[in-house]
Amino acid sequence: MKTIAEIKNEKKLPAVVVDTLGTITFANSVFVKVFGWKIHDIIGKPLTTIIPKNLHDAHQLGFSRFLTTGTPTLLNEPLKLKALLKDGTVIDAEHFIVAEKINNEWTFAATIKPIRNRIMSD
Amino acid sequence: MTNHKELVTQLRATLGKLEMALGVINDAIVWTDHAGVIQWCNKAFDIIAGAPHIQILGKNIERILPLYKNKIKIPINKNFFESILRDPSRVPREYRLKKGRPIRWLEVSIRSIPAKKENNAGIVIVIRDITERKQKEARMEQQRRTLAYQADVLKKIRNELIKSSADLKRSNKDLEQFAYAASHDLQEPLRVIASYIQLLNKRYRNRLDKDADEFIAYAVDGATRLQTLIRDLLDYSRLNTQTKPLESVNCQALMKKVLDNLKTTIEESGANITCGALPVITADQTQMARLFQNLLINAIKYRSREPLKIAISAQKIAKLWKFSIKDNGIGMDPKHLKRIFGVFVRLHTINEYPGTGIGLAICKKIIARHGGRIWAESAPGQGSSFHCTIPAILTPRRASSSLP
Ligand SMILES: Nc1ncnc2c1ncn2[C@@H]1O[C@H](COP(=O)(O)OP(=O)(O)OP(=O)(O)O)[C@@H](O)[C@H]1O
Ligand SMILES: [Mg+2]
Repeated sequence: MKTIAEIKNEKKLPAVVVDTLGTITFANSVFVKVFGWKIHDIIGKPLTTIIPKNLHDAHQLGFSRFLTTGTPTLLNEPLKLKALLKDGTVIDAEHFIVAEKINNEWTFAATIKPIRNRIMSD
Repeated sequence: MTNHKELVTQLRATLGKLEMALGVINDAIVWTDHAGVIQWCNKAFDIIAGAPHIQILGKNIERILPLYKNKIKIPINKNFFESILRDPSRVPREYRLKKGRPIRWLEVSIRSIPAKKENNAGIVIVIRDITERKQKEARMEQQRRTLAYQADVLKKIRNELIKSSADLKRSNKDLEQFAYAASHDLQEPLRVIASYIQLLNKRYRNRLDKDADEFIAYAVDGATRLQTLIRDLLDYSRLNTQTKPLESVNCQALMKKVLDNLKTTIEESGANITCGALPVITADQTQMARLFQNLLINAIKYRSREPLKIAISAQKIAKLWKFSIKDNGIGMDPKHLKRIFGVFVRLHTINEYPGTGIGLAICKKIIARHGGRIWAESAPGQGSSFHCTIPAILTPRRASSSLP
């Protein structure tokens, strides 16, 4: 199982770290390259910035549920999910998400590996 | 900043609870955009869709859950959603879901949720699995059909029975008419034969040889017996053709008359006859007298060495009067109890006990005409009991009709 520290060190795959409020606190250089954001633009943005709009509700509900119950359903396994690039392109990507309690607050980190075929956004 | 964090944390807690609450209800809830793309759904929907949450989100509901109305697929396409937007009726509709799995029945309520911002508008679909209810309804319908079918079959059988019983009645009647005609027409030639044989007997006895005397004696005897048989048969045939309308009959008085008529026979037999209270019934008086007389004569005729005791009684059972005549005579093997009511059925030769074997057949016919039943109980050496029933109340219409 990967740790947040390991994900922060990821060199090949795009990686982000998110705090308990859902704010992006870290993004690596591969992420910047793939998603098209400047690093200082993306830090401090809500995680929904990189999630397609029609999945925002589901994301907020699931995220809130985990914070309330502490029971993971989507963590620690590869998941095929959609991701949103800066230019509006929606891509399929294999997400690997982990969570750790740091200073008694949940922190999340994910690697996001794009899958070949790109899909045009609506 | 701290205020902002507190607020977000509070909202997250609220959202988390809401999500859990949605997760425990049985109805499936889906929110889609106007094109049918699923934006969120609850756990019950995952179960109906048969796919994990993650594979459902962002997909079009038409692909995840094709709905069928009977056999027609209801396409949840743009037009469909547009029609919902035009007519936001909340009347649930029933759909059939078949996706390589056992058929599920779903009750689907669809409602469009307008919002100021186009992005927040959407469609809420609430789906209830009503398969069990549907199956129950189907089973009940099946049962109803089975019952209807059975009722139909029963009706047909009943009609058949009515028909064959009518046929039977008709052929019985034909037979009766034949017996009547035959016995009636035989009487005259037989009378001629019998009188001439008797004449022969009178004039030529002791004038021919011994053999001739003997032959003539046999012929006389045979002709007499044949006359009795024919007379009895004619009697029997007439039971239904020559009937009187049913009337009020005081059985007590009638029995007294019958016993009076049999006075000599009774005295000779030394019978001790007891008679309980007998009712007033609606019947054919002459035929009832005949019935009582035949049964009494039998009780006397088939007596044993014991001093003869005969008990006559009547008992009301529900809507019937049951008459019983019990004797302590020779009795009979129970295996004959049904047969003895047949025409000319006898258990003895004419030399043991005289008779033609028509008495009980007549009784049976009389009782049948009155809508009752007759039967016997007996064992060898144990005496016999003859019972018959007569309806306590006969409606006037039924009373005047003659049953075959
Ligand atoms: N009370 C009785 N006890 C014993 N046997 C009886 C009695 N009544 C009738 N039976 C038997 O049933 C037979 C039929 O009786 P049924 O009265 O029909 O004819 P039957 O007495 O022989 O002749 P019929 O009455 O025509 O002169 C009789 O031959 C006799 O064997
Ligand atoms: Mg008799």
